[in-house]
Amino acid sequence: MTSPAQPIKYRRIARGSIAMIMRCSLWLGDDHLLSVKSTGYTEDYVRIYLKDLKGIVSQRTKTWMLLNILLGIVVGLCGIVILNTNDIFSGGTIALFIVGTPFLIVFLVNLLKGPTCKTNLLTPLGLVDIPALQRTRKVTRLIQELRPLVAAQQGSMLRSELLSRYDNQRTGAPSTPAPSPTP
Amino acid sequence: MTSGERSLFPLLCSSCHTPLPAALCNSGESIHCPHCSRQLQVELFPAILRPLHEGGSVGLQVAEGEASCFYHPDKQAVKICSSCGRFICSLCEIDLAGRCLCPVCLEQGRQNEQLSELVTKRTLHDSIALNTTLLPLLIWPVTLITAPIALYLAVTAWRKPSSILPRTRIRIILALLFSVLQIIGWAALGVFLFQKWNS
Repeated sequence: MTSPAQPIKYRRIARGSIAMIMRCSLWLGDDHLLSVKSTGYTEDYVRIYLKDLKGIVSQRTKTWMLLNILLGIVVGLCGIVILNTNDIFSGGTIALFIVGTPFLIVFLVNLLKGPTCKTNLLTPLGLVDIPALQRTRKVTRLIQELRPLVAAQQGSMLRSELLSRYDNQRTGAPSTPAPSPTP
Repeated sequence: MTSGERSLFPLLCSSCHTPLPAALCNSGESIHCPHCSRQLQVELFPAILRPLHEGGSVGLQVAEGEASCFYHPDKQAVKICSSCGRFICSLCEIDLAGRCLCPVCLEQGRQNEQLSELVTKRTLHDSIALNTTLLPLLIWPVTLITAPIALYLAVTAWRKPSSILPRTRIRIILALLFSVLQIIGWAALGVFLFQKWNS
């Protein structure tokens, strides 16, 4: 009975992986965000409608720094050994070069991608984890992109007004000054 | 302040779970939690001020000469279902991606997977077909069994709903191509062995 609607056009915003097994991505539709987790054979979808989106909370993690240190040590050791050899075309040096190059590439890619983070979207039902948003740079870009779209759905509000009303509601204070009681 | 406004939950630091002051939000850059010093980036939108439970109207009682809801004859019809065309009241009205649907059409659309907005999981039949074609090549004699299976999977996958994300049919085409090639290969080998055996 229900006629099939037009397919929704999605644009990918971010992608990543969970424990290097599952792939995850974040897509932007007309009026919602779509978080996708994929095993390669199945896909799970979570939709967050922009009219319901209350906020974005991103917490910086130490993965970027730890990965940089680990990869830096490996690349540094390989570099020191290669530079200290007399014969740069010996078998051992070439083997080290072959082993070290992928580490160097991963190190540089990780360095350029910037700090890692864990991102949650604040919805009426609570926090929704978005595993695809793993870099702070991507989160910042997403926030900038979402601001006008969310404003179109929820109405625009000045930052000061939004934050003061939020603080008043949170602390229980009245949002507008109450009129003075008449005698 | 209404009861809905009171139920607004405070925004907590995701590390130490202490409430974050509003002044730190929407700055456009990373901030430090005043309690645990964890670096956070917080952006709030106007929906944060919306009460948790807005509640819907129960619908107006139908008056004489007015159209009534198909499902609630005592309620006044306010909308027409964009799928079945039935008159529905404000209780039955379900807004889905700009379309107004009645509960029956919504349930039917969910069951038939016609409403892509309600799909929460999809099986990627094209990927299954392609991997059934390619992975057995690692132990190639197995392809005698897997090639027909892969061909069947690829043919059936053509009509099955795939991902709701942009996706081409290249996987199915490749699965069809490789499975057919494998079957032709086995057939050619069979003919060759048969001729050799006869001679």
